Amino acid sequence: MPAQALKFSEKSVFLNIPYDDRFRRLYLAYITGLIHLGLKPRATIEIPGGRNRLDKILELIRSCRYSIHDLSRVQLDRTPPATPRFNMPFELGLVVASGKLDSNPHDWFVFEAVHRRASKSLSDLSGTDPNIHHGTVEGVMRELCNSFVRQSQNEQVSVPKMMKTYRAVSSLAVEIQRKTRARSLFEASVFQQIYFVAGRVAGIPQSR
Amino acid sequence: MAHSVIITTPMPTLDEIGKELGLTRAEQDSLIRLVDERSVGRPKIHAPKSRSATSRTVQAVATKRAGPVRKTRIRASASA
Repeated sequence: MPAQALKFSEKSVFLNIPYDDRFRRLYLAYITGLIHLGLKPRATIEIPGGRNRLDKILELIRSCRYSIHDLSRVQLDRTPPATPRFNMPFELGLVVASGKLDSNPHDWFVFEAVHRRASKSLSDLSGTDPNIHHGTVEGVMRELCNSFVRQSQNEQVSVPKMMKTYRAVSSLAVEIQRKTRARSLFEASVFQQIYFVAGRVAGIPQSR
Repeated sequence: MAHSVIITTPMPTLDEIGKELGLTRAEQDSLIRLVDERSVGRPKIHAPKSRSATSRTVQAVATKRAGPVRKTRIRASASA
């Protein structure tokens, strides 16, 4: 009997980003920014390795209303053999195809650090304007606010407020990693705890 | 220009987030404590709204009027 499919969520955002220490700051920026917008980040780090991983990634994608694809990591990595990272463009391809075949609505966004680079690295995207964050935390926050607009005026968020939360979350993340004895911040339990803690720092009420 | 979408879903509560993540009550409380311990000395999250600056000033002036030394200070600031 197949495992129960993940339920589609209007507030889930599939976060397609590189998971390595060089991306640590922007990883925390995405989590913090999304929680300010009342959205829930989902990532493949929540999926355990092993068989059927690709099926589980597809299932996760299909459960999300939105996705963000950060294509800023186009350089070769330093670990031999030097290779580029194909996961992000590959998962973007899965999202585009899934969006054409699925009945659930899905909006996807491409984030990049450099103007016009995506049109060279992935020319199939011509006609799609990426959100350029210039590789900065503030840039990520700004582009998140440009991409996702909350309907209610009372719930509008600002980049300075997000930055304040980011600074607190950044130091709390170190504490969480230490307490959980995780090898990196890119582990499922750490990811979830950072998300929860970011909500607290952002001032999200405990209950209605 | 990149496109944008309008979010209409309600803002979640921390309880809802914790439940969705599968965190136990104890785990949630532990994480909340972690944040709040770091916030010591800073304004508390969800603390009731503090008195307005005006009401604080009025109270401070009232206290100053209670003693002779403070009275002098008020006079000094008034003449400045």
